[in-house]
Amino acid sequence: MSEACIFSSNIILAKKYPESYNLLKKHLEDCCLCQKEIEKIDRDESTWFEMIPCPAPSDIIKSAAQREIHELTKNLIKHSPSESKNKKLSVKEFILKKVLPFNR
Amino acid sequence: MDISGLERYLNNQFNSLYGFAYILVPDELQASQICIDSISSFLLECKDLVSDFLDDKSVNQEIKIKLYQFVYNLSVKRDVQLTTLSTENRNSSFFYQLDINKRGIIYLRDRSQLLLSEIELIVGRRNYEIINDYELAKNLVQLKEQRPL
Ligand SMILES: [Zn+2]
Repeated sequence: MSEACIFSSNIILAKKYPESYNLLKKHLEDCCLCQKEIEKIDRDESTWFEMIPCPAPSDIIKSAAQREIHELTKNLIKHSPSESKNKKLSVKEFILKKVLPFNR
Repeated sequence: MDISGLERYLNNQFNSLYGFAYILVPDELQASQICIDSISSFLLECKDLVSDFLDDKSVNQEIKIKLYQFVYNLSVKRDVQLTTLSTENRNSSFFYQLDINKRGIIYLRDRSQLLLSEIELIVGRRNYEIINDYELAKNLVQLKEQRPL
């Protein structure tokens, strides 16, 4: 075990809650043992981050989803209760007639 | 009132919702379907939030949490039905061998960068349980996937 600084044990918390560890900040910046420890923690964090999968949708999935979302939001207008009598109103007309008066 | 704004917002959320769903149910089609079902349920069941969004967009984060909540609950349901499916995928990395709750917590905390209080809402558990599970899972994954330095 190489030499250590007693303040190093606070580094993780100090990174998470910088406001609460303001007093320690100067020490952490100046102490080379703490600096080494900070670098080690950062390295561990970045390898940890690489271990978490980050799945992204394929283009096909994305465009299918876009179509679905478009339908779903379109239906929102159609099925709005105040809208049932005038199904043929365009979105713009709908906005002008039904919604604007209530807007803040 | 901005329906197209809502559509844009939901499209923007889709990627991270999909990532979350896939972490929970590692199957492309299933994950995608879970997201669409979640968005659909959200639009039907959270009419207040939807109309708040349409008025002004300050409820963004609240909506995001709701959407994650739907994805989580639906995924947990599907996971029970699909335990035999996509085992190949689960085996490809140790991460997928963690149970569904732990995968979800890790993703929400470290990929989605959500607050602990927000994760509590999504997974419906207490914060100390979440922290426990998180630390446990993180140690396990790090132990199993540790590369030679
Ligand atoms: Zn020090």
